[in-house]
Amino acid sequence: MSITLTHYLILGSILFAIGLYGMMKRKNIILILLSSEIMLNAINVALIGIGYHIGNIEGQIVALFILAIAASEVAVGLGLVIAWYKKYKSLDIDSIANLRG
Amino acid sequence: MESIFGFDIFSVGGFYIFAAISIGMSLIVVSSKNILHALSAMALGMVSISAFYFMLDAEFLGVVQLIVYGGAIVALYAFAMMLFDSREDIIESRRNLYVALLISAGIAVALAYTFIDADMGAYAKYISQNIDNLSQNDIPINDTSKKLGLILFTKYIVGFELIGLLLLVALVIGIGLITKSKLSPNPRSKK
Repeated sequence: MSITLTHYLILGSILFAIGLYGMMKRKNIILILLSSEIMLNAINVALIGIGYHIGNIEGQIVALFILAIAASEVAVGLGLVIAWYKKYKSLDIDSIANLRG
Repeated sequence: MESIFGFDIFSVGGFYIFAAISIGMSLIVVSSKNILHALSAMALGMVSISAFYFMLDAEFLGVVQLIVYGGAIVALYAFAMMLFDSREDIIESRRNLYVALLISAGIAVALAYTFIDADMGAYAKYISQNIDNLSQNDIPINDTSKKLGLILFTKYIVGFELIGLLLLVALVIGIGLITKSKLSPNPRSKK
């Protein structure tokens, strides 16, 4: 018994589905951002696992790019959330429904 | 490699322990009522995910994951939460709970079934035999961190520079969004 690529891919799928559930269920904007972090990490686990089993280093490079993009996404997202909170005093995602027809 | 009970105790045991920790912590993140608990659980979950990177011979990415997720991103969220009133519990509605559960469980089962059914290990072996990895074969180095650096700074140098530009843009946007503009010509912004 050993750990194969399928184990890592299934772990990534489970983490991705958990993050997706959090994104759909949560009402708090900060927790939606946290769920998106979980989804990005699930994809990183799958990429690095595939790269390891193929013997190719480029999976790690794509994972590194995803990590950097996640960091900048957090910076911009939290800036937007802080600006929103200053104006409307609410972290509820339903408060951003001004454009609903 | 230490073999106890007929299997490799480090890779198998480590995988299941850290998988349990990361999945449990992710479940706490998406279900906790207290935002501080969710944030602490995410910190532990990210640290346990970095263990997979170490097990997959990606030491550099493991260290980067520890620094960026365990340090910077959690600190950024903690800093942002000081500006909000995090004492009150999060308002959650149960309205779309079952739809979200159904969709995410369906996607999890579909992905897992695909990966089990398709025998991804055989695909990986096939690809690794037929892949055109010229840029890797002329590097006679076994150290994956050195290999990563050599490929990152030759073949993917444009992407690397663009990531630097993206981080700079994110920095400027982050500063610009949370500072008050004193020179704003718009009088409505002074509320």
